[in-house]
Amino acid sequence: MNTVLQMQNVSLTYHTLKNETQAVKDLSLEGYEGELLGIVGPSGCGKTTILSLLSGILSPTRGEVLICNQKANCQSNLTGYMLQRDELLSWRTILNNVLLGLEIKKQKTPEKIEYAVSLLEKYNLKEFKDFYPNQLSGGMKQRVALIRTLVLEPKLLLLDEPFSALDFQTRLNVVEDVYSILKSEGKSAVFVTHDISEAISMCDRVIVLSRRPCSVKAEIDLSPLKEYTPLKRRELPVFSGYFDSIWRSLQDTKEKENEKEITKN
Amino acid sequence: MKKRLLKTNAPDISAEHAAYLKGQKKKNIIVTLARAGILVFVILLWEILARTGAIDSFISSSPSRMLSCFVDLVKGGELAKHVGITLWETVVSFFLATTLGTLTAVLLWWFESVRKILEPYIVVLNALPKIALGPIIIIWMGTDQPAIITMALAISLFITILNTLSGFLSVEKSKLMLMKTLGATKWQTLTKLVLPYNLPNIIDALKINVGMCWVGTIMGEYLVSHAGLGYLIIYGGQIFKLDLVMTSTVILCFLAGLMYYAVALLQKFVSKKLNLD
Repeated sequence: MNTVLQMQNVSLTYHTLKNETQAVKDLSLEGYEGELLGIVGPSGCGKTTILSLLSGILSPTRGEVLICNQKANCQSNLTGYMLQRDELLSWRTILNNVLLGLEIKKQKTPEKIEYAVSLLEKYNLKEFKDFYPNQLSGGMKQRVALIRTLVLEPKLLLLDEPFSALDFQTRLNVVEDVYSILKSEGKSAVFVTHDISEAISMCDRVIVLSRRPCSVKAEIDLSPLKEYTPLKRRELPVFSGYFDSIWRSLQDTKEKENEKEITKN
Repeated sequence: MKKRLLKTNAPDISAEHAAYLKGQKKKNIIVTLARAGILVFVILLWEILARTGAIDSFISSSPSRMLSCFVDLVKGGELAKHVGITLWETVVSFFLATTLGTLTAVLLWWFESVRKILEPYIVVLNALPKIALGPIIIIWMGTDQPAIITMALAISLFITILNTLSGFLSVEKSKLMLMKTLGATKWQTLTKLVLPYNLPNIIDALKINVGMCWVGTIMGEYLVSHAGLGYLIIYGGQIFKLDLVMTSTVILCFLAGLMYYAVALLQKFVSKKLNLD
């Protein structure tokens, strides 16, 4: 399998006036073509930072981030970023929201517009293309946000807790939708979440991160679940086993942290 | 029921909803009537008190005297001239303040260090009572319209800059992040996100500006002028002709209200067009 992303001994340090914070320490990971890679970690461990590094918005202090064997760069079209909330612009119609990225990258050609419309059609949003975001439901808006990302035809999708702003029921449905969209488009993706069950229901492989500065704590292979959709996976007996092992490695990171705190005090 | 619906072709309204709508309509009528009523009542009371001699119409004027003063002004062709001059000064300073203010805000948004350097100056200039600049303005700009427009600008410009800039800086961080992830340049972030996002803010600033520019123009005309409504008011006061003072003030009220209303209409139009609600 081809690797689409490589992080080699990446460290990142943030500087503020008060102090400096090491957000990522010696992190190495790889992602493969067509794979949905989940990243789970305690909140505040730097998951979003990893996505910023992959998209090239942030440059690592040390180490290297490669996307398709090229250095990550926010001007390149290799990665597509999907944020926690849809961030649709209220004054643009759905179609114009989808075309925003193309406009910015100066790629708004008739063919691309046609592709955008075909994506909207494929995912049952075509009749809403002239609507405004406030006329759509939360789940639909999130689908539009995904299409806005897909239209740029990125090699690697970066999903930053894209369902956390949705209510539970919508969430289950949107996870199902997004999963099928990603699989049918054959996209590779990195999916960051703090929701363990969501990670298991969507991903092919899950990486558990330690607390800040984050590094890889455990890796769980979910390829046996490949043929099941997210909702089906939740019904499988093995689901709770996977949940347990991720939960335990997350707990580990917490306990160690607590011990450290105690010895410090 | 179905038949009736077909006949009237009206949406199906329940009796409760119809009653509610009727109640709201009644409330609206009461509000409109009360508004007009207050005006009529004040005018009548004023006239009666003046006629019966309860108040001295030499220092309080009266509606009928104001009306005859108004007719005289119109007949002499003076009204059009004075209103025209004041209106011109206000509109020019309004446009200048809005364009210059917004442009400056854009520059300050763009260059963060310039913003940090200039911030205290703008805040102090905004806090300064502009009337204190009167003598300086007269000496520098002369005793004509440029001085009046400068005064109006001094009053409205800094508040425009501050309001617009704070709007620019209040754009949600996550929206800025979106632009970043799409690889937008600063110019694209400005034109595709910051400006459209702030259009309601800018139009709100226009509403404030209308008022500010009226204040500035009249204040400027008090300081230096040979014509205009502010001149009429000051002149009327100096020769103790309260009819002229009152009439000019009422005309001023009317014009300021009209201009505010025009901006409010613009706001409604723009927010509808851009789906900003």
